[in-house]
Amino acid sequence: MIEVQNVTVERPGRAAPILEDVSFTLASGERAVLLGGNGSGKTTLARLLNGTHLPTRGHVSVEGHDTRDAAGVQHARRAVALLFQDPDDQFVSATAEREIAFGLENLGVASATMRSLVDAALRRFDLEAHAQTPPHEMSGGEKARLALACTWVMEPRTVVLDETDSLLDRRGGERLEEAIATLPAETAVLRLTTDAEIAAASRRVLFLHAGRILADGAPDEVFATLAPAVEARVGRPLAWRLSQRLVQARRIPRPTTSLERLLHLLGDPGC
Amino acid sequence: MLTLRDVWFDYGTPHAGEGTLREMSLAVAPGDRVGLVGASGSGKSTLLLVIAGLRRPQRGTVERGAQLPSLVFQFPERHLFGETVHEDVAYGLRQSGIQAGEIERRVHAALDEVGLPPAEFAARPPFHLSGGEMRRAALAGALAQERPILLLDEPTLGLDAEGCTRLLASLARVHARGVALWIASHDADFVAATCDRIVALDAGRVAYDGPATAFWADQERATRLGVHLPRVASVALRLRERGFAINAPLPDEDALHAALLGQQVAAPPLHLAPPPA
Repeated sequence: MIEVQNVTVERPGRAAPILEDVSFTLASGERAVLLGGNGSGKTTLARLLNGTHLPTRGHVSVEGHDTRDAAGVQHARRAVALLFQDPDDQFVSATAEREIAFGLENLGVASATMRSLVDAALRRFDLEAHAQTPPHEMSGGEKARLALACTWVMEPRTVVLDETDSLLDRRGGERLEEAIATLPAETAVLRLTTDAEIAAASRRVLFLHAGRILADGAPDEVFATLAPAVEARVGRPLAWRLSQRLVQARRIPRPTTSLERLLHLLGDPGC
Repeated sequence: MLTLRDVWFDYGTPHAGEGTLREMSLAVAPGDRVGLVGASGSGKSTLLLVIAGLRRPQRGTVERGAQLPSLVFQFPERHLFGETVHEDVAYGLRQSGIQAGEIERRVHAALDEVGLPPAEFAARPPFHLSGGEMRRAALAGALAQERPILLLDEPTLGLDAEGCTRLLASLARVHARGVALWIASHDADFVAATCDRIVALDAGRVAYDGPATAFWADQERATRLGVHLPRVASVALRLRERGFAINAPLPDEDALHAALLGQQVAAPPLHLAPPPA
């Protein structure tokens, strides 16, 4: 469980705060999307969750530990894993297997245990053929899976993905989804994105704009409450745009972000 | 304006295969709006490097005019280095020995083009801009070169909807001035909105080179090549499976709306542009 309470982040020389009075909770096992345009504060918010950034005002608490305490920061860094948009930003080792072992080495895990954990991670994320491959020579999809393998082996309780899918081709995107699905059910996942379609496929969407959370709920609720000018920063899902036109044509009672719900509202006999 | 004949390229690493080009013959033509698509590692970025003259093929020939193409790399904002936006955009022009007056004209025109008014942005350090603004400053550096061919590698990566709309408008204006555009991208919506010709790569070979509409019409091939479908195409596919009458492979939203209302949708002509020679 992560609790963000009335958090404001200010930076010297900036008139407006990067984040302003942000509050939400992320429960164990919850899967949510943080949607916002460029410069909305998504990455700053992600870094608050594992103590890389600290709030100017307010509190971030990870499983009851405040990140402003020295012990709380250590706890947050073990509990919350961040995956960057470009995995190259986080690789430091000469081979994929050494990359997976890196975090375990820092924790002083015994070498026999480390070997079996690394092998398990390579198997789980379909990277066995790449154990000796330098990370920078891997494809975008393989790099994303390696980053997730490095994360998984550390057993974090929360994984934050910062647009990790944007570099991937179709198959790479599907395999990343499969890899995310193999995370333990109690692992919370927060995905940061500028893409309204990714938000539309999530159960819960937090919409961040100019450092404030303007909406938090199911995608249909979130897109229904946003002012058009604000919504334009991230666009609208295609199903939402189509359903808005059907509402205007008086064919359905309300717009929706889901094509399936749209067809249901339209009375499709196949539903 | 630029021709590749039987080009082979290999990085020569132990994990070769990634980014290797084989017997590649292609023509970059005036007026091109080409979407370069294919799975990760199919050779898209390598092909752009060869076209730009930054990699020399081990076999085959690249015939080009006096001016090299401009290339905008992935995450181009990471290559910004100037103390001011002006210095960054002008850097390449100074290296080319262009006169000061002409440099000023081009820097101002390029910054206006990408929506960074020079009066407001030219004197600012590029690192104080937002991510989207940094991307536009980097694009301005390429536009200021005023080369006849502009190559872009994943230009929409990390951009929000507003940033993509701006980029789309900038590229439309650049193309209207006669610049040929080659865009490597996994963003099928952006490629579908921008490009009328598709070059699809598969393991370093050209798997398709022809009109965009015909490419998107063959969804099995796109899937086999690891290419995302534009969202309108994937929604059309699902609606067709449910019995809605949509013939067009790449319908616009009006056509999807009409289909949902139960109206027949006519297929547009399959060829927007003639296949390249």
